[in-house]
Amino acid sequence: MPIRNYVTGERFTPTNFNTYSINNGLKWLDTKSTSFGANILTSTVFTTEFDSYRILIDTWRSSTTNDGLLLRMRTASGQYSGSTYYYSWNGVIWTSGSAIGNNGNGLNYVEITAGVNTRQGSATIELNNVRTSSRPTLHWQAIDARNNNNRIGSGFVNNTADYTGFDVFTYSGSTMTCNMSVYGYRKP
Amino acid sequence: MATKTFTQAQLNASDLNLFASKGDSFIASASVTAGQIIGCFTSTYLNYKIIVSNYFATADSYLWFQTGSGGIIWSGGGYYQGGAYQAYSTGTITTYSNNNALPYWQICAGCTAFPNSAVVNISGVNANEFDNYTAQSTLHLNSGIYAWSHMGQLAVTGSSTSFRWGTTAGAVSSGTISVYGVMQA
Repeated sequence: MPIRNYVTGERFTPTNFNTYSINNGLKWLDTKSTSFGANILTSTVFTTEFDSYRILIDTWRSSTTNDGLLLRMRTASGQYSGSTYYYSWNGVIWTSGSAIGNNGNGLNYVEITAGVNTRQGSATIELNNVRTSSRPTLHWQAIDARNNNNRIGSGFVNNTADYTGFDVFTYSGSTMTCNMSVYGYRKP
Repeated sequence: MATKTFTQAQLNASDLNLFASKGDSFIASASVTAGQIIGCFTSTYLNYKIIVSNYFATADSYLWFQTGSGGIIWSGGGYYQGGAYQAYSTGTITTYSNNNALPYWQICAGCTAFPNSAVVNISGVNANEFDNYTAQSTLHLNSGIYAWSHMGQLAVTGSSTSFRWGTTAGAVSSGTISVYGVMQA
């Protein structure tokens, strides 16, 4: 049990604090929301404090039906749009049980999921190898509200730039609605 | 408000309770060259997350995990595993199973050209029951790159307090493995 309820007047030691506070394994870093906005930019959310991150996207809807939710990395000099994004995902359509999937082989984005305006989608993305002068990898699970299916995917960016953030945006450039939070996995 | 900068004599009980760990807790981390993390699974948590980050090996291979108790690792049978991997180049999906044919779980690939990673959720350790895991990882080899989703069970009743790892070919060269405990009531 990592939670301990202290009472007023109790003396705290450094060990107490280290055990119950700074051992946090997942640190909240940022939350951004947009309501019918074009995209979400997080230019400086990746720091050398963490190598691995979790990104939660909820209540995602696209104003254009059948649009896609895309992710692209950013460096200090701006959005990185090289044709070095590789990924694949698969899922099952809930209404039919049919398999569905797609892949990207040297594109300039990763397609996380797809959506419509009438139903909400979401995604949980695990991002590794950031700020390590290595190639970032990502794994995600998502709800695709366009096709009524789940998505299980992985991918990577075949480029070793120093990535300080990322963008989420849509194919069409149309507006979207979503909340997005970023967390860092503590390392020694 | 998720953070507060404290000054001396300013910390009080409500501060600490407010800012104390109430989510995933960091437990341990090691370079892949260490080969094991001993004593990371305790009665504090039922569920754990293991992250393999920026992993390289000297040859095309698989990084494997074994769970065990203390320094005694189960290296015999009982490791069941299944999943699917999907090529980035074509989207083609290949399914596979390891019906107790290997003495470990294969967690992610290892190679010299690409970094591999894995996010592993594991339960049933440090309890007198089977160990189960689910994972998403990369299957990046010098010869091909794939997305990989898999899960498995160690069908051995016992209390696992530790785990170790190795590679099916060559040697591990670099990377980090970290363990986090998932908060419970």
